Amino acid sequence: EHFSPWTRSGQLLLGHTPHFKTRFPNMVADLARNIEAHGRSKAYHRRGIWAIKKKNGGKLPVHPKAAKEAATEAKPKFYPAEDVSKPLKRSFARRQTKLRASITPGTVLILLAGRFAGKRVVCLGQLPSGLLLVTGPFKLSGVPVRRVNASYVIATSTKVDVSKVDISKFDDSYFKGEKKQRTKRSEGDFFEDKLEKNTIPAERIAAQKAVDAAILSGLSADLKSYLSTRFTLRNGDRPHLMKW
Amino acid sequence: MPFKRTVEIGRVALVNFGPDAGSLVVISDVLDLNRALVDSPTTTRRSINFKRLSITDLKVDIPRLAKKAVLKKALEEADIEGKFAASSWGQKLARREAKANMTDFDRHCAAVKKMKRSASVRKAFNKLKKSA
Repeated sequence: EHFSPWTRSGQLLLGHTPHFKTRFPNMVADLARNIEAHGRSKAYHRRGIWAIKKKNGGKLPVHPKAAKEAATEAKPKFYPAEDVSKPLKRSFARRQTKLRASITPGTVLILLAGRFAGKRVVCLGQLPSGLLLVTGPFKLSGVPVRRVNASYVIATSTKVDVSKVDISKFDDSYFKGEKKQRTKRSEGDFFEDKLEKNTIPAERIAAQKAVDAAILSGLSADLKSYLSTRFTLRNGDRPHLMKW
Repeated sequence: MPFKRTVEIGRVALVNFGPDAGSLVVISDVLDLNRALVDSPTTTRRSINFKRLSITDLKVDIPRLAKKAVLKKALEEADIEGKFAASSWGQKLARREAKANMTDFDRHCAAVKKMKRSASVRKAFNKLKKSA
């Protein structure tokens, strides 16, 4: 197709999109590379140099030169033999993921991956990082207060009353594991069998009990047995036809 | 064996294929060997192939190409919807739909009930077997 630089499609082809025009309203696209559409005098007039000069009393305004940066970085001692590529700078703000409408506080979820795959679990809410805060309750399914990714979860239509639960003390930093201390390893350590007992701090157990007590009281016997059972697929099950 | 359900004007049929599958319609006229004009209180009168219909036992007394008001009155007086829902065919369809709409919780409760039932049956059976 023949694109003329004077038509709208021709202008778009040369890169003058509507957004470009809002930023550079006085620019006109070249007819071809380095061939401008208007001559010197027309371009002078269009760019408004006459208006700038008029404003400055007949001359172009002179701006003071910015002081050159005196401090220069010390020359590096080592240059790599081949070019080392630097990763591009990423500037984006992390936002809380938008959840599907089916996931609300109190929804029973089926975990699909991880250690507790198949377990049915109560959703308590969403953390600032976007992950879901869930609990078994621990007594019923063995799932503690835990973070879970909404992508690895089936949301059922069954809802449990969690209005009495207080989740203010749980946030992402609560779940971050403590950094293990790296001790200097001596010869003797390699031969010794060091067993580190993994004890759960008492506050965590108490927090778990508090959360679960608020939920367990409102559960019927059917719901209790429901939350204690793992979800499995059996012969004849058609998960694409199942309603959750 | 003679046919008991005939295609005739006023015969109630179940649409078994298409966007409105599962709905009851009344045969308003027969167009030719393959197609009938079919009508219902909630839809406009349209032609449909007999292959898309399953004819039922039920029939209403209406004239050919009956008006909507006449059709509606006849269906209400005969309580066709109610009679069909009460029939074993209608009940079977309702059961099928209920099963398909079971949620995960419903499926769990049904499974638990089944296990309990079979456990009690087996217990009774074993008791009888032992005493025999």
